[in-house]
Amino acid sequence: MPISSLQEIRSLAAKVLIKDPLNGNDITATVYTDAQARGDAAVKRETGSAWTDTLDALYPSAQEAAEYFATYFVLKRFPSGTKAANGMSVLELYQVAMDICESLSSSSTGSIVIAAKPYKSYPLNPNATNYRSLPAGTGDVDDTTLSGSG
Amino acid sequence: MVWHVTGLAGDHTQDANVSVMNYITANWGLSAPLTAGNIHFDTGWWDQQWQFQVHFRHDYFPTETPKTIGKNYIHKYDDFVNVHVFVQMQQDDTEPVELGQIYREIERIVGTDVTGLQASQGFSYLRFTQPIHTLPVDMNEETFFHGFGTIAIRYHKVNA
Repeated sequence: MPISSLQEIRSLAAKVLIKDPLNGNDITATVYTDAQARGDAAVKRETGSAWTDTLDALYPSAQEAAEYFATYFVLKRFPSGTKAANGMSVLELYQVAMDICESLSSSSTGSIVIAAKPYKSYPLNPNATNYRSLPAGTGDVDDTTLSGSG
Repeated sequence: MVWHVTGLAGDHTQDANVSVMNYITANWGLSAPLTAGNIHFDTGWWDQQWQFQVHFRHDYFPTETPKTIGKNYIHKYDDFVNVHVFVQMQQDDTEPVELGQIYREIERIVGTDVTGLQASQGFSYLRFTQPIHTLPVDMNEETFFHGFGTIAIRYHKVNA
């Protein structure tokens, strides 16, 4: 199953008729499916993942990168200056797709959640009760004993 | 004292080029790949994004002529909407047939009923005073084609 959406690539490229420059034949469908395959391959190559799990939390990002790559492959057939429907230039499409892949390859598909609780004791927790090993001074302890002078 | 377009309750509520654009779009009848959804209809200019673009521009000098005499005479407006057709095709130095198909479709719609915008916009007619034709392009832009034509509009207004 392809990573990218063919419909999304068509919308992004905004080119509804692509002709063979040599003979004028309509090659639109071929160009789009070929670009989709190239875009998917580029994402797999750059991320080192086959992206077979559509439920993966990062799958939408891989899909976006594949669609940008594929749109690049369509638009590079046209003269320089040609832009995608979202206004991105051909080079921008490629660069953004590469950036997403770089981000994906440095991310983990698994997540570790670390729950942090506040310190229980003073002074790391200033709101905690100030622990005292001796009772508070109520007059029932001989001060001379504490001072060690007796 | 407010402006009234003949046949309407008040003045125009949108620019003439927008009215013409909406009319052409609504009556578009070409099949794929030149369906209305595949063509970018707008009022701007070539933006290097869409392969087929038709832009309607209100940038030609209209004229106003008194039709009657008196303080609040009837004003006759002869207005113009310029139609620009842009097609990008990666085919060297060959004018794409789609360009002519778009020209003929616009001319068909305009010619089918020149009073098509009378009820909604008060236009007595709309007609081509300059049919759409392809403009010459530089050799280094041989994959980009630009057609141009002018639609004339007539309407009357009174300030009463």
